[in-house]
Amino acid sequence: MSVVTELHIPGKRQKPDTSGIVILLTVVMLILAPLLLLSGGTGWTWPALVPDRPGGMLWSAALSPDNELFGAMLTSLLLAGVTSITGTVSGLLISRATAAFSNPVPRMLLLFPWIVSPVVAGISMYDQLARAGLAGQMSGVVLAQLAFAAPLSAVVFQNLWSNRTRAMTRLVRDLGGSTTAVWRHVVWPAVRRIIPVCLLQTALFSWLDYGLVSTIGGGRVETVTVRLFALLREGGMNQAAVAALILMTPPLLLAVPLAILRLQLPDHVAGVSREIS
Amino acid sequence: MVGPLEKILGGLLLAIPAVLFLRMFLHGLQYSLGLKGLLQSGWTTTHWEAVFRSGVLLESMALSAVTALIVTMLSLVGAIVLIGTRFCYGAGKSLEAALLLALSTPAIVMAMLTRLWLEPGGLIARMLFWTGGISSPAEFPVLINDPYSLGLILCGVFCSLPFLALFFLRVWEANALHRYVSTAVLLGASPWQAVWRIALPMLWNRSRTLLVLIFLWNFSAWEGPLLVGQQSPRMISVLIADSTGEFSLADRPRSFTYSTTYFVLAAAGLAVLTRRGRHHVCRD
Amino acid sequence: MQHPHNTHEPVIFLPAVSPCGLVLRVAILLMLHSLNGCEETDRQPAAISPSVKWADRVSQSRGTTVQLAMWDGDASINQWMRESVRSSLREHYGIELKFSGLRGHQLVSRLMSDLEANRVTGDLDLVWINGETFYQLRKINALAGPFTELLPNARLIDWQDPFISQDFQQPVDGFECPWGTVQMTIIYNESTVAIPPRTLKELEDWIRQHPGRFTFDCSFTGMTFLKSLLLQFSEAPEAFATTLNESEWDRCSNALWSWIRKLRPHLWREGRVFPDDVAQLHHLLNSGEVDFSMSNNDGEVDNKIRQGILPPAARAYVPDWGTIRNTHYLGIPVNAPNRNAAMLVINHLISPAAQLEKMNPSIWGDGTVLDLDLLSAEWQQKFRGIPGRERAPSRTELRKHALMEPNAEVMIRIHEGFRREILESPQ
Repeated sequence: MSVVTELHIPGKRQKPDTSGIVILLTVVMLILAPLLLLSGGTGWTWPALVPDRPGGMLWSAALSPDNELFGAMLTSLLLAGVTSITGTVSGLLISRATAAFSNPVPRMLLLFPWIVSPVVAGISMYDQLARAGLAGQMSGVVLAQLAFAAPLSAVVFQNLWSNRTRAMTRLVRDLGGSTTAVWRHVVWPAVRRIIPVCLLQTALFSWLDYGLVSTIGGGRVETVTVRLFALLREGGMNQAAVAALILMTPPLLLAVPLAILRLQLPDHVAGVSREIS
Repeated sequence: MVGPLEKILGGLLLAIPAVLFLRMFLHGLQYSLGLKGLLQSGWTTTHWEAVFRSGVLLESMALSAVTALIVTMLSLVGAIVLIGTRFCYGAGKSLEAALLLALSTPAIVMAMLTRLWLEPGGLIARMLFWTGGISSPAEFPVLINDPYSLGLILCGVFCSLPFLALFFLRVWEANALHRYVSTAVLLGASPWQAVWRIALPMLWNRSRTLLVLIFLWNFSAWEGPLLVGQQSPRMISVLIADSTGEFSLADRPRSFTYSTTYFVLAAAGLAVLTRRGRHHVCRD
Repeated sequence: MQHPHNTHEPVIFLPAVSPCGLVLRVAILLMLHSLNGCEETDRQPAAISPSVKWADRVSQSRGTTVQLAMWDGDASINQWMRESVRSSLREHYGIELKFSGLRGHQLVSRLMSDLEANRVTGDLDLVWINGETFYQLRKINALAGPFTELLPNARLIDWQDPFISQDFQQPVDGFECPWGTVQMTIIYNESTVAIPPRTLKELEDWIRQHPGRFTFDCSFTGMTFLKSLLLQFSEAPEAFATTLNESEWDRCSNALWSWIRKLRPHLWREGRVFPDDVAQLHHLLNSGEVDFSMSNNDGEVDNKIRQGILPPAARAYVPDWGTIRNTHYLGIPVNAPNRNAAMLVINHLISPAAQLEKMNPSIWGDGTVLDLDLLSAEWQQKFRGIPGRERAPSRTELRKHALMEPNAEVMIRIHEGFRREILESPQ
């Protein structure tokens, strides 16, 4: 898939993708190569370029069900699943309601999570979640992540409520259609294509979150990011490389559907841009 | 044309973030004024006075703003270069794959990679050792936790650039910019001239808000500054996170003074942005 | 999009006339109220009931989980805790041990937040602490106890040793249980430092003659090093004992900051940056960036060489001015959900078997808190048979240069002062 049409000048031969391949190889070498290298063994004393004791022991340990990293992976997956579904559904409903609100404050509120630091928010939210008995619980982490994920989704959905959808809604209502009919004939066809993207986006937000899970989770909710930070603290670079690659796997896998969906991710940002300006 | 049930449900769901954000702000404000906390002293402005007298917060804000500005500008330049490469040298799917790969790398992993490459015992230093460039890590320049935030800036650019470049590609495609630049080339402009004079102004117009968002993300960044940033002054998120666990219990309200100021600034920035946007729309 | 002129309404509260705004407004008010209303009020007493039989505690704890908050900056300690300790607890008591990585000050902050939110059931059952954390946690009544008298193995502890019965000059009073005892050592690279500096003057000269080759971390170990220096600037070290003498503190701390400022240009990276923690300092020594590291665990050097974390030429020593000797402890937070099981875990960790394993230099090398004379002949033999240190002085030798921990307030002030006077002040 190509998003930029080639420079076609009559009489000129099509250029090969050499520069793109060079850039791709550079990025692979900068990002994936060192992680794969370090994860392929233990120890890395100066000035060796490869681990002191090469082998796949860290990978087999990480993928064993007894391993904490494996448990953290399951927790991260569960959190990402719950947050993405609740965040997307909430975002859709919030976007419908705010489209009807005449006050600008709700819209501003939707943009707040885009710019505020999750770790600072987590520290400041801890008190109220602790009072509600939700600190140190998965439910507390989900609620805090939802406060971010729902507005993130709502902003994306907000751009769907155009004059056309308003006219369509009016038409369905004028013809005696109920709210269900509006959702079936107007809302669903409009949001159908964007829902998978929102699910992916909110799942990624949750999967990569460290600020909220570390503050609200209180050490009891252990995700891949929490393990990665712990490994970095103890200086276990080889294990940290394994955790980093595990952390990167879902975003990498999701990059493929995102590419198929014609790079919708930047389009969301376009949505935010439109919302603001 | 939104039904009452939808309004109620949406309103209730919107109340979740509204309440959480409102209460977190109020909690911080009350704490900073001595009205909350185990060691509360009752109404006082001493914590606010102490914070603004010490200058730590202002230094941190300034560092965060300057770093975010440099990262945003470098990302912009990098994205333009990539777009230019795309147009002038025909980089296609591989460039997009490279950008998606970089975009898939979380900030924490990017910070870890920055350390891995640039620290004195890191990969570059080791390569230099084997090629005879240096004989010990002490000879390698300081690029991590350095006073000029070089490692941090590089980390921020690697996080932001792919996002901006992909956005540019999308805008390029959506607005069929290739037609304009191709025409310019046919009329005698060099490909880089065409990108610079024709495409760039159009991309700039469409990406201004995104650039502000990238600035704000980098202003609030945490993982990168935590792992590769300097120890003093600290970036704002690190300052706030560190100060909640400072050693003197009596100084705890100070951290809430920092976070309250941060929230006010974030909300003000957002209000200015949205208001400016509405004026802009009105003028149109 | 909204028209820009109606911008004067208060944030969040929507105009009352709008039905949608009304819904949001009511919802917000209800949620604000409900979150406040969820405070639990049945706060448990901080005291641990002495009347419960130990056997009952054992049976009640089976199948439960204990969440331990600990400093997780040492891979070998983490590994021992996660593998050996966890499996023996599972096997003997049916307790599942879980870990949270928290440093002392983060722990205080977390427990303080819990108490402020009236959270009677917290996340942590057990905390690994040292003096300044103990001091702060006691100050805010965040520790449950006294409980050490209730532990069967506590009778084996060497309570006569003042380094054990007092934590940073504060009596333990049964609110924390000694777990291990250590003395700080300076580690140097024998291949680059032929004769390590013995006095403060020699250290100063060495730093000047070898610019960029010495530093200390800005975490617990480095600040403990600074504490031992602070005591050198004092003519009356007892001024830092039970109650802090303010004028002596002012005089000595100023001397300490001046000493660091004077040498700062000759430190690693010209004293602009300091390693975050001791793990990073070991890494610098291993990669040849500096010639010195330090450790709060006198047995660590052998252990870390074996793991490849320190170079084979690393050696530990104690300078003539002495180093701080202290003990680390285990405590139970006042809102621990599983106190009984936490007590079982502590009792297990101070058992001769666990203490012996922990003392082995190939595992941790941590000094025992047990009085060997109170152990059976068999256990005494086992403890005496622990492989000796190869690259660190013997414990008896170390003890000759042991300095008593000053008042906990000193550590807190050193942390603050170091940030204010050194990190945040330009050279």
